[in-house]
Amino acid sequence: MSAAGSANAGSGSGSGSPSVHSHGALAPTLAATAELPLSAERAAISGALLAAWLPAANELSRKMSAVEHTALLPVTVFTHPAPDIEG
Amino acid sequence: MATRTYPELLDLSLSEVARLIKRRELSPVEVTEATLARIASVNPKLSAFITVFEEQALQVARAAEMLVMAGHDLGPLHGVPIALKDNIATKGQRTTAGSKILADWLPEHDATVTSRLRRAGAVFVGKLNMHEFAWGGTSDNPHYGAVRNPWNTDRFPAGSSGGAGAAVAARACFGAIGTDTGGSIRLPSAINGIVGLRPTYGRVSNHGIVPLAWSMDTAGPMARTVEDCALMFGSFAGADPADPACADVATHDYLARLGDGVKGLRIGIVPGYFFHHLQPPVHVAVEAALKTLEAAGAEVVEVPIANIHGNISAQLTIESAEPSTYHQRWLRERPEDYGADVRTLLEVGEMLLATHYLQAQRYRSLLRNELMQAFRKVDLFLCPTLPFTATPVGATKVVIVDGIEEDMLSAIMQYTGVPSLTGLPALAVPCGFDGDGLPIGMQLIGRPFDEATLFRVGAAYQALTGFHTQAPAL
Repeated sequence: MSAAGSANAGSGSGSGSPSVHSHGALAPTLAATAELPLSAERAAISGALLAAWLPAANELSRKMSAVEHTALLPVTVFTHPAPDIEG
Repeated sequence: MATRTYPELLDLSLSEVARLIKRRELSPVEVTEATLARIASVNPKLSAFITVFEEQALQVARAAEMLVMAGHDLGPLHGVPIALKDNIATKGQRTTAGSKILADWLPEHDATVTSRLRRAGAVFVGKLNMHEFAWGGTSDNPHYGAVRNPWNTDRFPAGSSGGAGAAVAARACFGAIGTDTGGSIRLPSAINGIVGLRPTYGRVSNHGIVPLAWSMDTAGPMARTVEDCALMFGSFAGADPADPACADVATHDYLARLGDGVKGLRIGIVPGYFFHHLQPPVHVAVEAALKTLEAAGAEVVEVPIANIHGNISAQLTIESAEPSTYHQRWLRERPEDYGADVRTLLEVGEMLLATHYLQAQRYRSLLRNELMQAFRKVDLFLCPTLPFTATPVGATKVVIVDGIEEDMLSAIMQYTGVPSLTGLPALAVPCGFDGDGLPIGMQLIGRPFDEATLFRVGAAYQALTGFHTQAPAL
């Protein structure tokens, strides 16, 4: 599987954070935050994939921060069938 | 017992084998020997199996034969050879999850799925190769060999249940159990020309299965016919106190409505998404399948889903953060024991923010609500399983349209991500071949816990078409 990729950004403009363009510094910082040892070589590889994913992740966060979605809970388990949608 | 030639025997469906064994017209030993011989013949070309249970399978088959001849019926799979993806625990037998890290793991207990299949009378012939820890869609495994597609061994079998897809298509087992987080049952089913079900999240116990992403993991059947999948599914679906995410919802007789046809059913398509961004042969085949069902009496209804775009990012975020949590210790203690791609994905999963993860989880609620509203207008949805046919083994990019290379991981989940995120059941059904003879699959998406309608529609389609009867010339 490729270590470089992109994610569809959603329905918005797709304007990403400027910080993702400096992923060379971002990956070591985030890895250090998680106390994950990462060589410079590994940071470059992982940082490239992270940079490809972050714009879409941030756009999704913007979408989900909209006022019309305030009431949504992060719960997605079905505990019963849905008879209310019959017909 | 009747005598059959091996090729004829191996072309029988799982359901036909089960019926013949119950009628004492087929020997469990004969069918198991034929299966093991087929595995020995094709596995060097496919790398579909990590472990083969030669002796144990024959012992179980002999016991099954003694019992059936004495009038005992263990269950719907009595004496039928099937195989398990190698992330599903088998007591006392190596369960690697396709990894070096678990290369020598001997589980102390069966997974719930395993024990229920044993009780149904299944004969396990082996454990199937897969993408390492199920975290990827190619089954290009660095530890146990790249799984290859039986329709063209230079092509990939998709994944992560690639060994299952390849083995079933190659007649090296009559059915298999795979696992599906972002598409790992449906993708190899489509790419290898077989049927595969991702059940409703919570319909099948995950107890004893090495996790990928807890909130999306499912286990389901893979076989050549819809009837075969329905038969297997009925033997292991249902509540399990050992899995806190497993729902206490009644199961059905999944064979009962297979002959009901599609007349009057409303099939939904999402304009601007379900037939968008496809390789042309995939578009033609899936559209033709829709017309076949329409001609059989189904009604096709367009239903917009306003927030369907964005699902791939949510999928990647969740499917990264959760595995990185499970693997946190190993990633620090044994990073060199991971394959390069999985190691990178696990590292990235540690760098995503908690807010990214939780907004992705909230997006799932948004998407699910919209799909549930849409189910007021339709009974199921139909779309491609994935937008392209099998790529060369080792490829990390894919061209879908206009000669533009795209990243495999994002592209492969274009359609499978929707059921994975919403928790809805989805069935992959073969619906054609491209110009190179590579299989194409459609995906049917149903209401929660309504796997029976998916089986009904899939069976109606297979009764009208012959794609599932084609065999690779391996």
